[in-house]
Amino acid sequence: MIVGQEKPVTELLDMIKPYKRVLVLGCGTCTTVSLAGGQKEAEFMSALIKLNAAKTGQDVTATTETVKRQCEWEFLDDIADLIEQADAVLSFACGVGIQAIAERYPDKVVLPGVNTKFMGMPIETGVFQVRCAGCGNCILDKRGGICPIARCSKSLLNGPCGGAEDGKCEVNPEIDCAWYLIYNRLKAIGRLDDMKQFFEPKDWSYGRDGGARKLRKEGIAL
Amino acid sequence: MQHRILIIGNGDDAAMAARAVVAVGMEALVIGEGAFPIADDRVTYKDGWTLKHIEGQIGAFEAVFDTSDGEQTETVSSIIAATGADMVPCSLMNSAGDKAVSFKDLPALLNAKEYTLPMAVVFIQDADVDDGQWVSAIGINLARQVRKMWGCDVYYLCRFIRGSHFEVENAYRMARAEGVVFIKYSKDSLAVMPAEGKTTVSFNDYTQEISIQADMVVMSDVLKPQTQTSSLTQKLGIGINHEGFFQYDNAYYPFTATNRRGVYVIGACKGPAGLNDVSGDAAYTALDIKIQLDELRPIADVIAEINLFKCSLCLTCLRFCPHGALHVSDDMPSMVVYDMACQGCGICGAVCPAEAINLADNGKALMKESSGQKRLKVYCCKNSAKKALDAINMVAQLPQGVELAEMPCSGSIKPEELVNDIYAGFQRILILACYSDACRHVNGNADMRRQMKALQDTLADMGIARDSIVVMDVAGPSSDDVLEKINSAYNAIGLEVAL
Repeated sequence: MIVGQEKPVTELLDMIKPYKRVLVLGCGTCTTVSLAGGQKEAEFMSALIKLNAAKTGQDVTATTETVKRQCEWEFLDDIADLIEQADAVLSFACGVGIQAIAERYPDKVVLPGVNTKFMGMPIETGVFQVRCAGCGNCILDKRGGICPIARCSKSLLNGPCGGAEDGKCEVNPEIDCAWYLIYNRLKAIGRLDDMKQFFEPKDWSYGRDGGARKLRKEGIAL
Repeated sequence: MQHRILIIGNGDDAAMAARAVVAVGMEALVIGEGAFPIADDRVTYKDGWTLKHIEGQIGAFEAVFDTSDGEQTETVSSIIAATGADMVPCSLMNSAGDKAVSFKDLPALLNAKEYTLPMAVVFIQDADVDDGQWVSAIGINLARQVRKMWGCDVYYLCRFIRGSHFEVENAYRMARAEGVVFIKYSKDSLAVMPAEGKTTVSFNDYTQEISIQADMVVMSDVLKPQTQTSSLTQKLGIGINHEGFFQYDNAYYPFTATNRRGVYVIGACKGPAGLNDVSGDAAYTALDIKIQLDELRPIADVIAEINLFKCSLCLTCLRFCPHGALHVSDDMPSMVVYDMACQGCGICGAVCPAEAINLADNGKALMKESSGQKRLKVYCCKNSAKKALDAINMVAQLPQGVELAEMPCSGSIKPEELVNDIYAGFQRILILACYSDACRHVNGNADMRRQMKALQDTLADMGIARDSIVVMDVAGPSSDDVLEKINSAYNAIGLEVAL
């Protein structure tokens, strides 16, 4: 999932200051699951906006709604009325959803309620950790199912740096050394030979190079 | 309908559970490793089966087992864990030399045909920890046997003899009459050392230093949780205590009950306290199961309902439910509430990021409306503060401007509700929760406190005093304390500590 984190409330209150009618819009997929931008967070923010307005003597109304996914126009079309009535949309989606609103409603102000952090998963209740860097050319088959790009602090492709201690990363001892994990897992599945697979320096043209990436799904795309 | 009860374990505790289950007309499915002493048509023993996981609720648990023939699934009405515990020698055994034996090993010596009879035998209990009643029960009876069979001097060193169960008191009197000498030693004064073919036991009896030359020293064993305990509690969705035994101390789960309805724990797997009266516990448990199964109905007035259109299957409710009442249905897939397992605490609703879970009125009922003059709003847990206020019928006498609301558990409070209360004009909000180790819903108090801490931080950022929201723990029987806390919170309005 895409993991988000709510922005500090003071930053958000500052952001919406110029606007009287604010639609606080939750997203029912990734930011709900990562506990940052579902209906609960949207309602909480609305309540805070109202409280702050009362406290500072401002005339602000906040409405709350949540759609299944903000990153698809069909779901945004369902709430066209609500968006039209608002001076600004405070979106609790990831950066994708926020931009989807901006594109679908070109004359509408859309503001980010969430900082989009990474693609990851919950490792315990309420704790999320990165798993994928979206590099565009997956090598997990050769690295025991553990990504050295996302999980090694130095994104080393061909073995550990030498700075790890007791299986922990020298950058932060709370982080597992990805290469320690990779070695142990390859050993456990009987594929230690994969360690010998050498990768040339990462070709980022699959990833961040060459401008905004676009994917055409052959057989489906018209 | 014939009820079948799963019993995990094949030792003495499990045997007692099986006998009790059969005695009230139910069947038992017993799993363990090795032999099981009961041969009975109504008891099925599966040697070598281990529990993999369970689903379902009281009346119809689906238990999946690993067996030598692969995975097996059985439906059982209820589950009793009676896996026992490991007995390990106490730490003094290491230094005590070869004249020392443990309680566990003594019976074999008593039964041995050829043995040089000792002149003086010293029994020691409470060496590592203060042993429970069961240790006294075993130890005193062993001491009596030694006195009777070997006719030697028998000294029984202890710190406490607990006599309320098992006729320990009677055994203690008999032992003294038969010539066993009981001596109470002071903590940390005990030393056991081998010396010239004997063992020197020295200690302070609160008046003087005493040293006994013993031919044999018999020391109580210490109960330790089995290595499987932790994983088994996870599979069963029940608690583990700070010593690593099954189930924590909580007044709402008395005797053998657990936080998961229909799952019970009996005997040594609960730790020393579990051994006080295993047969009594087994009988109580079997009867409790039978009564519940014969007329199975929900135990909460209002149970959680899930709005499937809003639910994003994030599993947060599943992770937070203290009663194993939520699960992912295979055929939808969607979250489903087990109606017989839900205890209506509302914790799931408070943590759901999609606001997809509702209890009627979120479980909160107004007890006393504010007179328009909104000063203090008090959320009262129905398991403590509500009871305390009802007991003295004090609701009407509270000061003007106090509004009281009842909640099923403090864990059911949502931060936005409190923000809305402040918006509505309340100057302070008081949450009266149960003490965390007496929370009926196990983690409700802790879950609420984490959410409140985050809320106070957020409000402080907005320039609203942290103590606009006050959390206090109270107990049901303490009406005066509850009133005092309400009044003190009320009187402190306007005196908020500056940020």
